[in-house]
Amino acid sequence: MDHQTSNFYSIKPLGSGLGYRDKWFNELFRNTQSQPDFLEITADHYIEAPDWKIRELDALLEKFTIIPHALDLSLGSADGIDMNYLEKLADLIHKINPPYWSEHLAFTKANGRELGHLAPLPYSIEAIDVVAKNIETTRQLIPVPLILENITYGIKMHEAEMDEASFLSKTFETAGCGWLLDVTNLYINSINHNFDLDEFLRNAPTEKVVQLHYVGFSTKDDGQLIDDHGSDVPPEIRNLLKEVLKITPAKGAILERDENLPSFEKIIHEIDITRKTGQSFRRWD
Amino acid sequence: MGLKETQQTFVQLAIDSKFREKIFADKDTHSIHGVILRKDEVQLQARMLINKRLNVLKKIFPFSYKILGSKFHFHFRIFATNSQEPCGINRHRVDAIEFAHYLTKLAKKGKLPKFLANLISHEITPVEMWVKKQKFRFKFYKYNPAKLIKNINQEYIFPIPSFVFWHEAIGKKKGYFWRAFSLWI
Repeated sequence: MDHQTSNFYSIKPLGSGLGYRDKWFNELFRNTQSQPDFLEITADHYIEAPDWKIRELDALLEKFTIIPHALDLSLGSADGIDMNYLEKLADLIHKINPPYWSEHLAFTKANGRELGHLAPLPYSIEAIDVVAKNIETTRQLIPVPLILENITYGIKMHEAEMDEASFLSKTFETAGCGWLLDVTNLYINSINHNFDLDEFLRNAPTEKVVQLHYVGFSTKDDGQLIDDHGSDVPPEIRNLLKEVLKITPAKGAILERDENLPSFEKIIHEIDITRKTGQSFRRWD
Repeated sequence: MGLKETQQTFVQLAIDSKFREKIFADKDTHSIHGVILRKDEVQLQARMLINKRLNVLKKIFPFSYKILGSKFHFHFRIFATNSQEPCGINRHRVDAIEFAHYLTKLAKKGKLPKFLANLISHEITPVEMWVKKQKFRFKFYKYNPAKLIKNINQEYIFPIPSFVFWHEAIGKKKGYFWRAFSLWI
């Protein structure tokens, strides 16, 4: 077992958590109701942020374990890492001192220009080597264990050298990182690109899963699903989440609602269901 | 091999409409190192990116958006086509500040309601304060923004010279707060 993998095994279970949105700040500090077990923050919201935003983070840190989720490191960029962004991200992660942090198996930048969106990588050895090299650079400033999220893809930018499950497996092994398995993204891709979920999970590196993401999705008129992070968790996602909690060593699951934010009570209800599911498979207490 | 060039071409196709038109002028696919990019898929990506920027701006300018309606979309698409894509950690904020300048120019030229210039300036202030790390800000307006927001559905708004004091939240509060003071002569 390499050093990075052993780091993931030693992480204590976190439980059922919430992607933090500032609408819920006051609710998170009420003592009268169930609360998330941990929080995930969008790292970019706290980089170059004003004092009041940093005070908000300080308050959250006093009560919750916080996992920083970065958006723009572009670990899949063949151009390499934006060192300016990396240094600022490193300062933030050092402040938070999390058990791990997360980014995406994707790229957002090329040739100094920004896509403003996560774009997929080809399933190729070259892409794996690029990701591994960028993560090695990142690790010089951020020695905290890293997990990578699978994204949805509208375009498949590749003549594939391997299938997605193999790509994930080789990437995690080569780069020495864990998997942030986004259950909703996985489901959306399986419908939009017509592949069998059971077969995928059989071949995927499920032993590398450290954390999960889940949320609802929306459906276009042509039947294509969209990861708008703006809907309640539907039965299909609940079922897949349950299956994944059964077969993976996930330490935590985050409800990642970004749009059409419902009441905090509704959010807590979703989180409570996930907590019970995880408990039933002894993922956490 | 060729991942660098593939990514560079893909990004440019997705964000540069003129480059996209040139590449797909007489074909529906473009090949880079064996990777096939389809015109319809790239156009879909481009539309998604524009819509993402637009959705952020609608949240930053809720009152201006309410007044302009479909014109907001129309002017944004012209702005997006003729401006460089935003970059950096504060890219959405920088995008909003640039769009505010663009709309303000239109309002001053009489192509949009003149009072809109004040409303846009008011709505963009917290964004500017975030980017510039300002604790306080004073602004002077011909139209009182509190009245503009309150009477948003009215066709004619009386000018009431006012100044507005903005400050960053203190203590446990979050965000930015403002107070408008009308100046009666």
